[in-house]
Amino acid sequence: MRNYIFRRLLLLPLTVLLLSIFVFGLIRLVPGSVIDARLSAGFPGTADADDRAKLEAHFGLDKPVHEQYLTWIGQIFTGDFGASWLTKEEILDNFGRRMPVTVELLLLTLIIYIPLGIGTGVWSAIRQNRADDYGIRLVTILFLAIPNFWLATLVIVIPLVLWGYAPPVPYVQLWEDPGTNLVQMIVPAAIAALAGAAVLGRVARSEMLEVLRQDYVRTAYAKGLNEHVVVLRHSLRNAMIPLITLIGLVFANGVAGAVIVEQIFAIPGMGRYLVQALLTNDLPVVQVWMLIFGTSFILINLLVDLSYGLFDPRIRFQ
Amino acid sequence: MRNPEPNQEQLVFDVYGMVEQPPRMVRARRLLRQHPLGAFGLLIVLFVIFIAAFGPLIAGDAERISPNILYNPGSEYLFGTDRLGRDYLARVVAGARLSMSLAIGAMAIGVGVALVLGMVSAYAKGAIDLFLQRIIDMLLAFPGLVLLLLLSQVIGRNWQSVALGMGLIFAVSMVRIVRASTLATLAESYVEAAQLIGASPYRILWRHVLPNMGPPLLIYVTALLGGAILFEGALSFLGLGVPPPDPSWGRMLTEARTLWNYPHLSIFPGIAMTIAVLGFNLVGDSIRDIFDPRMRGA
Amino acid sequence: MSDRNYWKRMSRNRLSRRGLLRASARAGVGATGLALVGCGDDDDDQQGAAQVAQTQQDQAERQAEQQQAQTDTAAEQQEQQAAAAQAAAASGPKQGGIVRIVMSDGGIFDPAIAIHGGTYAGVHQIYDWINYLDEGFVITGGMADLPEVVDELNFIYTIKPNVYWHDKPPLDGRQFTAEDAVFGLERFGFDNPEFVFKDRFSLVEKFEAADQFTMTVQAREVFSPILTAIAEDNMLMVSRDAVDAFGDEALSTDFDAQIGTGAMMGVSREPEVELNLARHPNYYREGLPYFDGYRGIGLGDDAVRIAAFVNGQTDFLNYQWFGRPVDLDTAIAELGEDAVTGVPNPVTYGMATHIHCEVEPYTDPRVRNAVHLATDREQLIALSLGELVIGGPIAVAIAPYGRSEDELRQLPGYRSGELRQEDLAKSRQLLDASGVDLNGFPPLDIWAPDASDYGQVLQQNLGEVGIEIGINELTTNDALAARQNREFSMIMLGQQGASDPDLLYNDLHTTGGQNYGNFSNPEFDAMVERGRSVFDVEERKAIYDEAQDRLLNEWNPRLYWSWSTVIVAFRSYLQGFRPTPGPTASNAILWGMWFDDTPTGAQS
Repeated sequence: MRNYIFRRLLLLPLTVLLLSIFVFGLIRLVPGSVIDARLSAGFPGTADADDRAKLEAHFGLDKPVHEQYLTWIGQIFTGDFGASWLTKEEILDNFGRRMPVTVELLLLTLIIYIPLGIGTGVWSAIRQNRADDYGIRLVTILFLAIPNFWLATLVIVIPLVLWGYAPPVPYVQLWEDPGTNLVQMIVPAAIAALAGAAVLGRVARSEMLEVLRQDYVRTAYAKGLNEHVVVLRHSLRNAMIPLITLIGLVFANGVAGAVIVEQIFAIPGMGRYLVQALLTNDLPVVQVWMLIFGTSFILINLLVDLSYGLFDPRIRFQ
Repeated sequence: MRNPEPNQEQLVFDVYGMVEQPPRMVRARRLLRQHPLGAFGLLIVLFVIFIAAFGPLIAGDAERISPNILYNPGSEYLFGTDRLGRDYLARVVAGARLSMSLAIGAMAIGVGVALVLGMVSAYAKGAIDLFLQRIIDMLLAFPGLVLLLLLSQVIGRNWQSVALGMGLIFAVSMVRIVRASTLATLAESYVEAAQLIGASPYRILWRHVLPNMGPPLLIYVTALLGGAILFEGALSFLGLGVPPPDPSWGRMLTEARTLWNYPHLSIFPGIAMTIAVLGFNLVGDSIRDIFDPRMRGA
Repeated sequence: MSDRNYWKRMSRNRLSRRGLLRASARAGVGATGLALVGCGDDDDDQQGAAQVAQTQQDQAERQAEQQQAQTDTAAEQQEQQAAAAQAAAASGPKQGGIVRIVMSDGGIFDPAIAIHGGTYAGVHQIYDWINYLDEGFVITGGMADLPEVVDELNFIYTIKPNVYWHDKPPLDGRQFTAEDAVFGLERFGFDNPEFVFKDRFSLVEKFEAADQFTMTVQAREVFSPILTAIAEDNMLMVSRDAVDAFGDEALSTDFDAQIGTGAMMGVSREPEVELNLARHPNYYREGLPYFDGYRGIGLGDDAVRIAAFVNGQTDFLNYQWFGRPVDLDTAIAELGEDAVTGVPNPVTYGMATHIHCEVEPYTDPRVRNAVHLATDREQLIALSLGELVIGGPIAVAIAPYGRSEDELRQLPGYRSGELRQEDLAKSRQLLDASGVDLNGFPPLDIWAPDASDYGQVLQQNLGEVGIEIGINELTTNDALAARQNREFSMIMLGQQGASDPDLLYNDLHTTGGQNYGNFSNPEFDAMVERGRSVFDVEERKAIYDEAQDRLLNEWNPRLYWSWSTVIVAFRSYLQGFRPTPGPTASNAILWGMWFDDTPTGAQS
């Protein structure tokens, strides 16, 4: 066990280093740069070559790529994450402001997602191949099939047309006005949660089905325990273990969902930051975003892997 | 108390083709009856494929611009027209073809790349394996959409490159499955025996490893087909999808978002997209039920 | 099932083509004002100075006259009467209320660096101009009166005596002086790679403060657009004190460092979320602004933007330079025509097609002319759903030089119906005469996806005269690179205009910076060289009229067909809007506006 942790931790810097090279390299392949946005007002292509060359030199884009990389990674090591080329704002400041927003969104998503996913999954499993099983599966799969940006648009347009209601704008921080904040966040969170809940429900259903076939469950039924006790006490607990794997998935799905809903509902979070940076080729922001996000995800996965041992003593790592 | 499905075992063995089976048609019919949702999904998928294949021949030119701008659905134009006066029915139908091409193209690329990388990684072992797996680790650290956004900026913008981008993203998520499955097969004694008698690696991978890959990949692939269509929608929404004049559902939906006075612009592609994805997902869900190793136990 | 024709609905609304026309008429008028500024070779200097000294009221009168003269259809007169009645019914400007504007917060505040529509709207309230360009690019007095023209090289600006900085440290509300003006203007030319307007004053020998309120400008050579350059909408005055106290970087990013002389003072900002400004009590325009404050609301998404407007959470439907007619149409459907006002606001960018004059078959002017004649502008414009208007070489917004849609429609290549058939016939003749291989045209490059639809139409148009041309779609960056490197035969891309007809020099002079098609014609060169040395508006107009005529009928180095127009839309309880055409259409709109009836959300 200790060896395993040690090996994984040893590989971590290697993965992160690869990550940084990959991110940096890939972004350099994106044609054009933020300079276009800086140099032109409405329509692109008004700047002359001289201005462009000067700005490129200013941002260090005239140097060879490996040199650019070394400069960048060196600065990262000294804790200097740089500033956006478009807005000139310090990237870390920006992260500090946006991280809590996205974390709140992800937590809200989780709050909706987990009960919904597990609830429907378990229900579906107990009622396997009956009408409610089919009904639940059909509905969850249907929600998985609706494009989330379309759903979000419908959620905005339909109440407006029918009742003249629109979500309050602009975004209000949780600590400033929790009520308004929740009103603003709950709909995007629900939209982001729906698709995920369908996936979770599907996994929960099959896990549950497997557990329900185990001997000890049969024994429990034989003992005359009522169904609630069997399902909640004996089965669900055991079915939960593999669901831990899904935590990483939840995180990734949540961020992908956040990219879309933050964009639509004007939530100043991480997802919107990335999209804006990507669309304007704001290289430093995209690089740091990918690096920080990737690293934290790798760490989360590591923790998840290690936690198996805690939840299930039978699991041993070589 | 639940009983395992009586035919479960037969179905499982069917996959490996090792047990004598009732005639094919009988099996298929039984399978469909046991999985009504899957059967329904299959019906949808076949319908969408049919539309994609033959629809454009009937519905006409999706790119012809006319002065009849933004007509509502009516006798002249069944689905109305869009802001360039193009026949919306033709566009929605042509969108089916594009979506199917995208989904199947992405899936083929994804499976191909994943098979090569996964099997090489598992067979080569050692440094190559370690290196490939670190790269996969790293790529798995991002939500597919995020990678796809970045990739689509790099590889350009037509439907082929969007399919390529999605294929690569799919490959990332499948490599591990391929690798695990390859490792499992390589550990079987008959493979070891084959190696001992001097079978080439190519032959071993082709004859022994590949055939065992079917079930685990199949589960994945059906889910990805629907995913591809949704991905294209999300990309279009963010402004990085298939560019005009190609009639992509995602783009139609995005363009219609502010044209509330013309709900037909939003409703038709929205429903088309939802139905297509629903079909794939229903099929995928049932296939998962059929093949999921956990379901065999009991 | 009723088939509704979109354009029928559009014409019922206020953004009819007639509406656009009226706006251009207004713009046309404005330009007369330019005559007041430009003075001339033919006038003697004193007379010029006297003209400059004329009050704005005089200008307004002239504008009114001109406007009357230019409106010729009965319908238009009716509309004007209605507008006048509306104005009379309103009980005059009222003080109070906080105007709520959608913004997309781009980030950089420093006027020397960036133009981002969203932030810029806020920047324009905080800072102010020496002179600024009003409707139709008329140079108008700002913190200084219109300049006294000493001779063709020397100009004297007199700063108004009641201009004060915002009452914030380190400026603490002190007076704005000629020294400040000199620093503010010179700063644009500072050697900083990020400053994008460095070339603007390359022809200025020096700015100098003669005394506390007098700034002299000395030009290096005769260059008539110089007064326009000083009044451009980016030429906002920042202070040396703030730069010294906070640093150059802070001027870009730090909201506390934003201290100007403008109508509004900074209160608070949450990047991308909101921007709050409050009325500057010591503003130099007496009694203005009417609003107590300004609240920028960060909304990126179109659907939410429209929803918030319809729902009454914002007063403006769009941020500047981003007013799509279709959005207004949506808002009107929800709120009714009376609740929303949409005003067309011409801007100086649009779609154009560059032709490379050194690439076969376009080396032959007859082929270029044939392409010009075959292009169906009406059809191209219809695709834009009102976002583009038919345009010639000079944007209609740049009055009196730019030509309106109606004027252009009389010209070959712009005509429709029977006359278009004549043009097509002429086009075929020209092609015959040139002996070009109709199937041998290199593909048309297209900026995709933005120009894809237009490219398709042009392809169809050219097909009508037998030219078989393929389409090659390029991403924004590839398209820009192709144009920059002159690697195209014909490329459809956006084009950016300027505030002065001198843009033709830049675009097409043999040495012009943006002469991407390598067009070179001694006659044309001489024309635009003369254009930038003449101050008299009549004389300049004659020069540029001839240049435009020959560009369209003879030389055709570019395929001109459109300029953009932006529909600025807001709730009708707001009064006093003036369209201010410009590169970003974001100048002066808010000073003179007021709430006729302040809605709940906007109360201070």
